[in-house]
Formats: sequence, C-alpha cells, structure tokens
Amino acid sequence: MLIVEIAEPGAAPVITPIRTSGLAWRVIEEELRQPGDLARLRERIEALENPETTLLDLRVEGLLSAQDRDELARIEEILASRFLFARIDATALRLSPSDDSWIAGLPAGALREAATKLRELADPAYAGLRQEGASPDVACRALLELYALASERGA
Amino acid sequence: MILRSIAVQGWRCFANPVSVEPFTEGLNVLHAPNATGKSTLFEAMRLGLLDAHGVSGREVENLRPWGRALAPTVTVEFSHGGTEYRVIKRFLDHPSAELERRENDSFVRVAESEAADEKIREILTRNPPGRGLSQPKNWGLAQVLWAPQGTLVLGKLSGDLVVDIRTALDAQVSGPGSGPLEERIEAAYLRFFTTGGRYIRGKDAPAVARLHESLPAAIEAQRAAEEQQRVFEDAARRVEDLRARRAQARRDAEGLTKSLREARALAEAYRGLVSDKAQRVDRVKATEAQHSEFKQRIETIKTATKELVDVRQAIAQLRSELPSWVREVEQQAIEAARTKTALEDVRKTRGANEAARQRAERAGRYLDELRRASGFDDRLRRIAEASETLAQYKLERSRLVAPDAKMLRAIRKAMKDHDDAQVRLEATLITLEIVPESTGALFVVDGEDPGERSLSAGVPAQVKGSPEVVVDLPGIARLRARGPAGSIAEIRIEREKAERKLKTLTEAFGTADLEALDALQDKATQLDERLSAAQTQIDTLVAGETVEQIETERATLAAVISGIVADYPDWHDAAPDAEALRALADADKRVFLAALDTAEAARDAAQSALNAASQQRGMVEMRIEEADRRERSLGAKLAELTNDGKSEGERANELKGISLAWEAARAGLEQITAKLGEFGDDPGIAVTTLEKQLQAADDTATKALEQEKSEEGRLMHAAAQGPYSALARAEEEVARLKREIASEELRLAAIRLLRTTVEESRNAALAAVAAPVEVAATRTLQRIAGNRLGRVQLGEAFEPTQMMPGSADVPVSIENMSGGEREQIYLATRLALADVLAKGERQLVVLDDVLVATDAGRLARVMRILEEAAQRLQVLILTCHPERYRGMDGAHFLDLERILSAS
Repeated sequence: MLIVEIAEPGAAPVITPIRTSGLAWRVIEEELRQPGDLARLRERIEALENPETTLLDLRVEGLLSAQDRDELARIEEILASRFLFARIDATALRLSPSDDSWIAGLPAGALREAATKLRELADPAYAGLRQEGASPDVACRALLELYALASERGA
Repeated sequence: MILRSIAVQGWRCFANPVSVEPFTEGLNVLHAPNATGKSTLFEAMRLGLLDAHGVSGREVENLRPWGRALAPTVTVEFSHGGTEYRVIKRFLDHPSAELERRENDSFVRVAESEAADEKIREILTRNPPGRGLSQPKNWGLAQVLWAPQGTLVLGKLSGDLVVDIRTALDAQVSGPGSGPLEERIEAAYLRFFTTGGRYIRGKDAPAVARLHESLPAAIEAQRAAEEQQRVFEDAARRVEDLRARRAQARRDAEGLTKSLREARALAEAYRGLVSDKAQRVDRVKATEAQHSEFKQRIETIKTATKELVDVRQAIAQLRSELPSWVREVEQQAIEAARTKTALEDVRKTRGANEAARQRAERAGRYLDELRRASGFDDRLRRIAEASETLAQYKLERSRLVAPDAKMLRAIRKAMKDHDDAQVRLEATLITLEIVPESTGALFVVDGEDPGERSLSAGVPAQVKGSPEVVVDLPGIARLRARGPAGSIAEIRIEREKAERKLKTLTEAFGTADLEALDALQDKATQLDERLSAAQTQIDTLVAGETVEQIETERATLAAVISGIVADYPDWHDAAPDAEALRALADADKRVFLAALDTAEAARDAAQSALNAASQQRGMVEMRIEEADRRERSLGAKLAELTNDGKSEGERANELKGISLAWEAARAGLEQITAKLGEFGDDPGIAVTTLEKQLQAADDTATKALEQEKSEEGRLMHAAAQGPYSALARAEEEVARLKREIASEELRLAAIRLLRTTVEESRNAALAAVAAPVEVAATRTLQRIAGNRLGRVQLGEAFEPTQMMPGSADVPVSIENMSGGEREQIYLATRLALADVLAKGERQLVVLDDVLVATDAGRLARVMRILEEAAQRLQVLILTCHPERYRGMDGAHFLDLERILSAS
C-alpha cells in the first residue's frame, strides 16, 4: 500500500510504501574462510527487513574459527527469536586449524612443499623473494584455502 | 605390454592369413626384403591395439588389398600386467572387436565392440582419437616405445603421455593422495580463473566481479543520498534564513513607519518656510531691482552731465588745433613739390649716362668685330693656300701611272707563272755539252738554234733540245742525245701565255721591272697621303662650312663694322679704348644713381610728411565731427533722464527710501533662510527615502514569507524521504560491498597464489626428476658416439631439444647435428624414457627400419646397448638388413619371407 501526502496546494506529494501483509522466503548460503566472516553474516541477517514475516534457510560451510563459535550461537539465537521461521545447516563447517601441524599431514611432495612455502610467505618477517601478490595476508589466506580443500569431505 | 604374436588377413599385401610368432620377451629381429610387409604388420598391430574397429574413411579403405573385397582383420596376442590377452579386430565390412583373456590355457572373451576398443586402449593411452585413425599424439606410451619406419625422431610428446611420464618418473613429485587434492585446487582455481589466469566472465564470473559491478551503483546511491541530505539541510537552512529575514523586515518596517511619521511633520513645516522664503526672495529681488534701477538712473544723469561737459571742452580744444594742422599741410605740400622737381632733374641726366654706356659697349663690339674680320681674312688666306697645294698634288698624282697593290699582286703572280714555265722548260731540255780540245765547228741538226756553231779549244759549248739533240761534228761523228719524252710545246705555250699576261699587266707602267713597279707604287702612295693631308687641312679650316659661306660671313661683318664707323667716324682713324670708355660710363652711372637715390629719399620724406600732416588734419576734423555727434546724443539722453521733473535732491531722497525697503526685505529673507538652515537637507527627501525603505521592507517581508512557505514545502518533501536514514543505508551498503570485495579479492588472490605455489613446487620437483632421463640418455649416447656430443637436454614435454657439448659455452640445437648423430640422440632418449616407463612392467619397443644413417662402428655399439635394453624391455627390430644384427646375443630372428612362403 502507498500513502500519498500533499502538504498544501502546489507542494510535492510524499509517497510512503506500507507493507501490509505477505511472507518472504530467503535462502542464504555462505562459505566461511576467515575469522570475522561469521560476524559479517550475522550483521547481514540482522539487517534483513521484516524478519517476523520471513522464512529463512541458512547454510554455512567452510572453516569455523574458534573465536567465531560464539557468533554461531548468536546467529542461532537471532534466527529463533526474530524470524517467523528459520533453520541453519552448519554440518559442512570445519574447525579452523589451531596451528600448522596439519601441513605434516598433507601428501608428501609438491603439495607439502607448497604449504611450507606458503607458511613462509605468511610470515611478515620472511626475508626471501616474494612473487607479485604474495603478501603475508594473501599467503595466510591461501594456507586456509589449502586447509579447507584438504579437509573437505572425501579428501 | 609384451607382444606374443601378430596375425593378419585381408590387409594390404596380406590377402591371405599370415601369422608371425612367437616373439620373445627379449630381442626380436623381423627381417625381410623391401615391400614384403614388415611395416604393414607393425601398422596392423597399431590399429588393432589403438584404433576403434568402427573407424572409417579413405585411410582405412586403403587397408583393403587392391582389387579384393576383403575386410582387413588383425589378431594380436600380448601380455599386460601378467595377463595374456588376445584382441581380434575386423575393419570396414561388418567391423567387430573382441578382447579375450587367457584363462586356464585358453582365451576367454572379455569384451567386444566399443568396450573391447576402450579396454585395450587403456593399456597404452587415455587419449583416444576424435575421428579417423589414431595419430602419434594418440599413441600414449607408444609415442616413445614405437618408432615407425624411418622415423626415429622423437617430437614433442603430447596427450596424457607427459603426465604418464611424470607420474612414472618419481612419486616424490606428488605423493599418494596428492591427485584429488591437486584436482580440487585446480577446480577451485578454474571456478574463478581461466587457464590463462584471467577472471572468468559471464554468468560463471566470480562474486567479486558482481560486487565490482554493484559497487558503482552503491556509490552512486550513496552520492544521491548525500545529495538528498544536502538538499534537506540546505532547505532547512534556507527556511531558517527566510524566517529570520522576514522578522528582520518586520522590525525594519515598524521603525521606518515611526521615522516616516516624524519626517512628514518636518517636511510640512519645511514646505511652509520654503514658500515664505520664495515670497521674501521675490520681494528682495523687486526692491533690489527698483533700487538698482533708480540708482543707475541717478548715476547715469551724473555721468551724462559730466561727459557732456567733457565733450564740449574737447570740441573747443580740437577746433583751436585745426588751423595749425591746415598750415602744416600746406607747408609740407610745398616741400613735396620741391623734392619732386629735384628728382625729375636728376632723372633727366639718365640719357647722357645711358649714351656713354652705349658708346663704351659699341666700342667694345667694334673692336671685337675688327678682330673677327681679321680672323676671317687669315682663315680665307690659309684655305686658298691649302687649296692651291691640293690642286698641285692632284695634278702630280694624275700624271703618275703606278700600279696599285692589287695590280702589283697580279704582276707578281704573272711573273711567277712565267718563271715557273721557264724553269720547267729548262728542265725539259736535253743539254749536250762539248768541250773541244781544238778549235773547230759543229752543226746542230736537231735542237735549239739549229745550224752551225764554232768551237774554241777548251771552251765548253752547249746544245739544248727536246726530245733529242743531234749534233754533227764534221769529220768526227754525229752525236745524238735523247732524254725522257716531255711536252715541251705545252710548256712553251704556258710560258708565252705568262709572257703575254705580264706584258698586258705592265704595259701601262712602261716597265716590267718589279723594283721599278714597287717604286712607282711607293711614290703613288706618298702622293695619296699628301693629298689626304691637304684635304684634311682644308676640311679643318672650313670646319663644315663652304668657302662661300665664310666669305658671306666676312662681308656681313664688314657691313657691321662700317655701320659702327658711320656712327663714330673718329674710330676709323683711331680705334677707341673700349675699357676706358666703359670705366668712364660706369663712373657716370654711379654718380647718377647716388644722386637719384638722394632725390628719391628727399621726395619720399617730403611726401610722407605731407601725408602725415594731411592725416592728422583729417583726424582732428573727424574727432570734431564725432564730438559734435556725442554732444547732441548726450544732450538728448540727459533730457530724457531728467524729464521726471525732479531735482537732484528729490531723487536722492527717493533712492534712500527704496534702499530702506530693500534692506527690510533682505533681513526678512535672512531670517527665513536661517530657519530653513536649521533643517539641514530637505525633510521631503528623507520622507521619500523612508517611504521607499518602508515599501522595500514590506516587500522583503512578503517575499520572505512566500519563500519561507515554498522552502517549508521542499523541506517537508525532503524530510519525508528520510535523507539521514537513506544516507546511512547507502553508506553501510558501500562499506559492505567494499568489505566483501576486499574479502573476495583476498580469497581469489589466495587461490591464485595457492595454485601458483603448488605448480611451482611441482615443476621444481619435476625438473629435478627429469634430470635422470637426461643423464640416462646422455650416458647411452656417450657409449654410442663418445663424449664429443655432450649432454642431452630435454624440453618440457621430454623431447630432446639441444645438446650441451662440454667444450662449448652455448647449447647446440639438435637440428645442427648430422643425420646419424640425430638418430643416435633420439634412440638414446627413447631408450631412457622407455626405461622410465617400463619401471612397472616390461614394455614393447619397436624400431622399424631405423638407424639407417649410423655407421658400422657405432651400430655395433648400438647392438650392445640394445642387448642390454632387452634385459628390461621387449625389443622388436624390423629390418631388411638382418646381417647387421646377426652379431647380437640372444636375438630371435623371424624371416617374414619364409613365413609367407610357408603359409
């Protein structure tokens, strides 16, 4: 519905849309790769309009860092309290590595060498030659990507 | 794979069934003469193992024996992975394929048709051909292991073979379990990037591309929200400004209304004073004019009266001066007449002076004319003398007959012709000279001057003649002398002709002597020169005139002289002194001119004095007349001014009364002016200004109110759009997009780095493990060709690319090697790669008619190497020169020709 207001003769009309009824179906699929991803997802969910008339299907996968576990609980709480209906599928989430010991578990050869190289590049104090774009941030993220790919189901 | 047997039928040259077996697991040499079918067997084995049975096309049609409707069929038995297989394939007509496996000493069918094709192919390659027969790139391992006829060259390996080789080279490149993870890494990479490393475009483009596409719109929305907010804030600010402006205008109008009321009262009082002042000014002006007029009249009467007295005195004075000026004029007139007479007297002496000057000039001319007459006389005398000389020369020249130069040249030529004829005549004559010893006589019978001649003892006598001379010496002998025959008659005619011409030419001059003729010519020339000189002298004297003209001029001059003498007869006897006469005339003239100047000056001075006196008298008379007119005018004016009948005292009293009235009017005016001065400027101007300001303040208030209403409308409209919340949303959206872009770009960069790092690690490992192949190939090559060729270097696809000789700093391309060296390099590389590929199982190596360019010495070393290779590989050599391989230990020879004849 629209409310059209005209203050006085010659004044511009003011149009206000008014939601009156109906349900919204939303599906959100999110792949988590780094700490903070889940916080951004929570903000995005909080910003959704009219949650009381929204049905939400949330699917998350990827890496779950230790500090993001509380965020996951907050999201579940928001889904349960604000939305008309909501469910979350977090079965594809894997815990982020707490250290680099997982590298030793990689297949020997090129992959393990690559992981070792990325670990060196991820160190800001690394004094060796860096190829273009191989900043510590990118190298750190590349390690996480490798970890995620290596820990996927069937790997 | 180990080959056990090959059987074909209906295949090119093998129309009937032929089976070649058994092949040992070591060295096998299949030999036969050319065109027996060795390579055909190899081809049948390749198609049986690598190609689909349903393949068609011209190439496959060519397999059918010429002129026969047979279906090419091949049967290959082989072992692989410890299992014995048999494949039977039929092509073209009712094509079929069967794969059998030996089970309990008999072959059992395992697969047929396409399944059989696929299963067999998996043994050698995972890279089947798309259409048509398989190409080397589809051969898989056989690219290395099998060398077709004469093609030992190992090109760039392709298909999955490189992967197979790399896989076989060393497990350290990718350990167990690496494959799936590497595939996932590759898949993750290809989800976002093309193989060329660019972002995927289109519907499968990575999210960052969509985010980048969304960002400009979000930024634009943010900018629009900022603009919307700015519009709202501007509108609010303007409403506030307009309200303040309207309130101020209202306050200004109230103040102005009060000021206007006060100003209008002042203006009313001011206008009254101004009106009163105008009346008083009129009154002052009127009394001032009356006073001025009356005072002027009194002054005029006084002035006229005084002036009348002065005029009358002047008239009397002038009339008293006039007689003396009349007398002065008369005296000056007498003096002027006297000086004029004196001047006339002086002028009268001008004629005598002029006559003296003329006499002097005539004397000068008389003397000049006398000198000219004398010159004419001398000139005429010299002309007469020159004419006489000229006439004498002309007479002398006319008497002299002399040849000119042309005639003289003609005479010389005639003389020369005559002399030439004479010489030739002399030369033509025969001369007989007789020197007698005693006096006697001779008789010329034939010759010049015939007749008798006397002889004197000892005096030579000559007789000439032509063409012969005959002389009789009486009593002694007749002498006859002959010479060459010549035309003496013609020469004589020429000489006579020359004599006649000479005579004709010289006859007029009286001599034929050349010197005399030259003298005559010289004399004539001298006379001509004198004539010319005399004529030139005459021409110079007459100077372009004729003698008659000169004589006429002389006569004219004589008449002039006679005329002068007639005027001055005394000059006939004694010539005048022209200079003295001229000096005397000049002196008289100077005296005359001085007297003339003096007389003229006196006359001019007297005349000037007369004129001045006359002018002065006229002026006095004119001034008297003018004064009379002035007297009359003043009298009339005075009569008019005093016609009021008042006395001077009465007029003075009246003037005093008028002065008092004027003074009173001025005092009243000053009083009013002082009051007006207290106002400063005209209060009416201030009223007008205040009225305008009040109107402007009212307009400002009204306009501000209108604008305020309008801006309030805009403000409400802008407020209704929620600018603050819209801007906040837009900023949040832009920030979110930038965060997500950064996150996505970080992820994509990470995936790219991950893939690049893995690839670099793998390449580094591969480079390390490819080295053994190069080492093995180099070792084999050095055994064949020595150390000279150096080290084999392989390309990315394991093809030999160049050699690195130990003595050279730069690599040498394989193309620069000799034919024999190239096939040895390729053989060494193939064997090295075969060793790598055969690590898991013995493999079949086929060499079809290769090593054709290798010399016997190196071939012997190749034999040894092949013997060693046969310990690890099954080697099949196809050749038409079995004798070359006879020396190999353990070699199994199969004679195809014998097999064919047996079948």
